[in-house]
Amino acid sequence: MKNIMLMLGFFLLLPCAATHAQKTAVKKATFLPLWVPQPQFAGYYMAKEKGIYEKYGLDVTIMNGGYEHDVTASLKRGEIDFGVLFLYTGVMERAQGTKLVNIGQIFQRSGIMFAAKKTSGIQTLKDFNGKKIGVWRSVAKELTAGFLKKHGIEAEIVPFNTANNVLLQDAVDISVMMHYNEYKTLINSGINPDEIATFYFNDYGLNFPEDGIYCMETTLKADPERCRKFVGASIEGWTYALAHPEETLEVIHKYQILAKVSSNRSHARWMLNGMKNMIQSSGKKVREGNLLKTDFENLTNFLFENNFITNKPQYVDFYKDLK
Amino acid sequence: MSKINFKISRPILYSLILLAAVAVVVAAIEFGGVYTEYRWKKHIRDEAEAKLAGEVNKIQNIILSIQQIPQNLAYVLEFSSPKKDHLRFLLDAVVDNNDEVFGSCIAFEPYSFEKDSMFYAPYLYKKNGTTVYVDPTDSSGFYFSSDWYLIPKKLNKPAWIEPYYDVGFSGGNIIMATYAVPFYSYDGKKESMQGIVTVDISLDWLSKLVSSIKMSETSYTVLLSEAGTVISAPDPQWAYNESIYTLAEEMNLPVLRKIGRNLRLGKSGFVNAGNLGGKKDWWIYYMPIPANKWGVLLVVQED
Repeated sequence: MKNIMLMLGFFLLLPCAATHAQKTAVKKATFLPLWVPQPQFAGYYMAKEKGIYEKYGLDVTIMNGGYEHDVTASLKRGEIDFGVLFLYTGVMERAQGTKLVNIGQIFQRSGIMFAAKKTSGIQTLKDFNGKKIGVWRSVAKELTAGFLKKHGIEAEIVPFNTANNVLLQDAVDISVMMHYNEYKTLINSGINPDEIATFYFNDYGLNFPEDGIYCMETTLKADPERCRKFVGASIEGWTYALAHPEETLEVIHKYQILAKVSSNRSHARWMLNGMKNMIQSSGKKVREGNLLKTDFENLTNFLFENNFITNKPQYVDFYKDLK
Repeated sequence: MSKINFKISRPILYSLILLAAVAVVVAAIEFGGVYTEYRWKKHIRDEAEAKLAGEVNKIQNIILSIQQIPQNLAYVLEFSSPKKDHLRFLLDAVVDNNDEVFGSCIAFEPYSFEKDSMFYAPYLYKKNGTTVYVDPTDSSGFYFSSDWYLIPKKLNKPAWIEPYYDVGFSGGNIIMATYAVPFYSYDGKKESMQGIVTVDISLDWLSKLVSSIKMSETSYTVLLSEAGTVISAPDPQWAYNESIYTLAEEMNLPVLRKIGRNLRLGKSGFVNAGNLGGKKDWWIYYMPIPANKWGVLLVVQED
């Protein structure tokens, strides 16, 4: 009888012991998205909101992105563990000697485009010559410069902070933008789709994947398991977000209010819908979160040939498959 | 030729007369209804137009007077070579003497104010009943690619910049709009741009003014920017978050998109917006503010 009681006591105590072990195993992580809260980062917010990070044993703090919060600088300074960067930014940083690594390639295609009002008479790339072309001051400027060089376009380059108003008010003739973001803002400013001439980079041989998850090499070496869990949970967060769009939009809206970011459902829905296309790029055979070697090499070749980098980082050094 | 005789029995004749009488009455009622509706619409349209025209005229005059402030400042800068202290004095004069002005900036072209300094853009703004002066001279104050600098520079003329939600300087979450004016120097041969002068205005006073326009208990007004962004509306959640185009999409009301596009073209109009899920229809009278291409909507329920 005494033995039975002891065994019963042992099994009764087991769940408590397991819970205790789980609690002590929870690891903290800080994460900085590339920009302010918006559906572009829905997967991370949903992983946090739905307890997916917790399920993986992570206590993740999502920091607010924006102009004042540069992901690369924050990674270098050790202020964050993980961050989102464009693939080209990661490659350029690596080529310049920054020891960061890509541990998950979330977006599998390019969303960048040029847009112009048709009233400006711009119909083909040839019409770009001699015009004022607005490009982001600090984002994707190498991609836009490389695109224009590739097509022999000679135009006045106008660096701006934000894309839409300069185009709307005719301060530039052509503007770079993201299809899932600024293009919809243009439509939501009263310009009809059939009044906009569009030039998608992926139609011109520059279909470089964009958002990926990055950390410093030291972070990966110190605790590869934490990195693996962060990537796995984030991908699960994305799966949830895309499967539950209305719930996801509510959650994103909550974070936007906290960050005092302007938002509306029309634009948020468009962007979240666009994420499906960015992540599950049609016709491309790639595992979720995987960076294809061909994508990496196409980009490094482009950057190298256009003299944006002086050495080509190696795929095995740059991308770490944690699956 | 034989003559055709129609013989109608008396009951049938009475029935036809009765039918004709009913038709006349129905037509009269219908006509009366249509006429009443026509009269109502005309009355509402005329009243809305009269109300909005008066208020829009007031707003237009205020906006024109605000525009004059940086234009005068630009004029002073073009005819003098002010030192730092003098710039501070000019900004004090602009911000202290104009209630509508929240802040003012004099931003110079690269190496234009001092040969060894790429940036120079002193800014004075109101905070907690006093003024704060900031004098950015380093890259943290990089401003050349901001809308308020870039748009008037590239257009080579003054411009209103789309309203924005200020959480930085004011600390009070205020919706602001900026009017930016380029200023130039002339060396006897050619004119070259030296920088941009701005005034930032809080839109609170304008929102209050527009909100006070009423036609009935249920009527309300909406103020829109040039891009259709809602500046003020009865639902405070709309302000700065929604545009007339996002509302058109979310409310499935294409007529709103048409209104926005008409306002951009400087057109006014009167349209039926449907019942919006209620029992009575809503009508919208809209009118542009010519000075800055913004627009005002007066929304009235049918009664």
